[in-house]
Amino acid sequence: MAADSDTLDLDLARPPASGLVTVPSGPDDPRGNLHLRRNHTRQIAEMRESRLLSPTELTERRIISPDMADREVANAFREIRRKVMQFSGPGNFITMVTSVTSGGGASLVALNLAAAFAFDESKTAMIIDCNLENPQLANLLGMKPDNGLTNYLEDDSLDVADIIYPTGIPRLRLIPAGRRCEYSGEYFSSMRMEQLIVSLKQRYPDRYLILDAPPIGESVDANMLSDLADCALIVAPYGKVTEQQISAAAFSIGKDKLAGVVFNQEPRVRV
Amino acid sequence: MNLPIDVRINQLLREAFIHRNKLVAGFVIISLSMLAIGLAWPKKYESYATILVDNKNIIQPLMEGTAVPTGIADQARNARELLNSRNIMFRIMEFAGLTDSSTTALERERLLEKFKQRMRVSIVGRDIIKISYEDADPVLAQKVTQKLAEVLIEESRLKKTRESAAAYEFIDKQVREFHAALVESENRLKEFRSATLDAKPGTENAVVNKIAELQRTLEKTRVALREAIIKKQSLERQLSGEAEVTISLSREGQYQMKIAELQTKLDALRLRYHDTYPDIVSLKHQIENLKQAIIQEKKRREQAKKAKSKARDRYLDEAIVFNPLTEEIRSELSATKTLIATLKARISETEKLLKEELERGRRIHVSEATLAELTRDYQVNRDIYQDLLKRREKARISMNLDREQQGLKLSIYEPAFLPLKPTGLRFLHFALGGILLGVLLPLALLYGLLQIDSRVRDRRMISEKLALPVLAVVPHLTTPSEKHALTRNLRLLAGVLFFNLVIYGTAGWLKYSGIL
Repeated sequence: MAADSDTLDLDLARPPASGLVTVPSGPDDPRGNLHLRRNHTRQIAEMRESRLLSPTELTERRIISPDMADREVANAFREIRRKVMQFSGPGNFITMVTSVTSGGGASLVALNLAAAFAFDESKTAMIIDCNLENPQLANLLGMKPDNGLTNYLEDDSLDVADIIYPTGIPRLRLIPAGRRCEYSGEYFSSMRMEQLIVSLKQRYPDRYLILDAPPIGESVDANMLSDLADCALIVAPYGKVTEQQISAAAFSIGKDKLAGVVFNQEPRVRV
Repeated sequence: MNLPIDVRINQLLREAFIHRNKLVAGFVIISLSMLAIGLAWPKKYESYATILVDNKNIIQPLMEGTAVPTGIADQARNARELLNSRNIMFRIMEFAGLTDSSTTALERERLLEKFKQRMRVSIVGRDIIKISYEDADPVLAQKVTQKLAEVLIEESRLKKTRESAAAYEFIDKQVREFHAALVESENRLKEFRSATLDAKPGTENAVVNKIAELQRTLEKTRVALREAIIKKQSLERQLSGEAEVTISLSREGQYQMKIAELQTKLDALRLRYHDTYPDIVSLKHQIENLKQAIIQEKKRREQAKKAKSKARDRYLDEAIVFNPLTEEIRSELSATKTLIATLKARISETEKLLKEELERGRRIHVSEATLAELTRDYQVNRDIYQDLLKRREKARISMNLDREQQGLKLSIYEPAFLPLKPTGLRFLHFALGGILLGVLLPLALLYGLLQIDSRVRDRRMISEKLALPVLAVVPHLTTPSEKHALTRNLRLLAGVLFFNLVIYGTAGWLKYSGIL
């Protein structure tokens, strides 16, 4: 699957006014701002989507959708979305999702949270797979992307547009992890990474960025990523972690950025 | 952190669902094992017989006040001891067909231990002894129980008969011994009585009176003797010559006094006059005359004394000698002397009598003590003998009662029955227990593990204990394929459980239809 040439995300270097934006106006002009907002909505509506995933496929991949049969799960993610938005305040923000331990299902939570953000037709979401050691998102979505985050960070010639992929879920984009690598620390501390995140955030005010971070107890990457993020979620899987591990993870992130804990994978007795 | 009970139960159910395969496996293993044990468990049939103990002990009145009647507890202990005696045990074991002549001693001992374990003797209610015996064969259980009860009664009857016979023998022997003792003491008493005739009741008083009388007489006689002696002395004094001398001496005295008087007069005159004064001369003559008179008197006294020694009792003084009173005194003196001699003779006679009486009194004391001892011996022997005679008659009656089996204390109240249902743990218990244990044990194990496991299984642990905000609880997302797998798994488990049930049913049917 080739990188999608999304017109919306062509090039960050280019000013947003160019291309689709016909009426350029300064950010301080309220009229222009409103216009820009309307423009964005239109742009979102016009986003070129690849083949959308069918409800069956979504269920098969454990991805939530607004009209899914299992209301409980969808509502849980809506609740998370609401609380995170409440925590971060108005405007878009970067949310990091990390797990207390590996196998905690953080990637799925991150993906579903992103999907929940994208429920709103006036909002878009972008999920970045930052778990370079054990990237999961592409698998979860059933994609085999050529390039990814590491490729972009290593190769200056690559454009942002080259690593953004549609996911088959409306208004949700993915930046996969890319080439597998063991030493991920320097990537996240690099200038290019910071620039990428900042520009991705600033470019569209209605786009929510979600970073799927490796487990915080097992990698320092999560700490670095939490510096880049505005808020962080800890995923605590049912029956797999102790209180001490959870409190250590919370301490590691710090109170001001910790939006809360998601208690994940609670089994349901269902016959 | 203590979670509420409903949360805990919920958690347990959740975990049970997660570990359903293990739980079902545990259930199947446990229940089938229990079923197998239940099938293999040996059946035991217990039969019992009750024996009524007659509390009216016949030896009780016999031994009244001397023996404590045996209580029901003692009866049970006695019964147990009786049945536990090796001879009886061996007899019953042979009866039960457990041993025969070819059984070795070691084997016999081992079987004895087993046999003892199967037999129980206990007390039911107030006066009933229960003997129970269990065996794999119900018929044998009944037979052995019946035999045990019979042997117990027979043995205790024999024991009682022996006991009462022994009691009779003992009392009879005692009676004979006391009879001999009684006869002997009677003889001794008879001999003593014939040997000492004065040893009769009241003799002692007579002796005492006699002695008192004699002593009184003796005292009187002695007083009379003393009086007679004094009288004699007085009479003798009256008759003695010393009276004459006394008179003579008094005449001399008169002269002396006269001289002294004259001398005083002379001295007074000499103060005033010369010696030649006529009065003085006269006085001197008078004094000289008086002195001459004294000398004459002395001479006469000497002559009188000489005459006295010559004429013995004859007094010199004619005036006295020829006094008629003297004759009278002399005759009285003679009479007094006779009285004294008589009194002395009487005293010695009385003293002799008194001595004899005292001797007799002493003899009576000794013989009376001996008599009292002999009488006492006799009385004691007689009393005991009479008592023993009564007891012997009672013992004879109780012995006869026992011999006639009239005073029977034990009787079979409820004979041994044929047990139809086995006792102890039965197949049904094992089967039901297996199901219950199969459910509860794995669940309990799971619950225990949950208690030990400190991993977080509830959002409250995070929100309340760690005070971290919980954004949401995301349930496990199941894919359709997972759902299918779950359904298949549940069907399989249901099948396993059903199969288990079938096995149970089959086993139960086989068991109760008697095939197994």
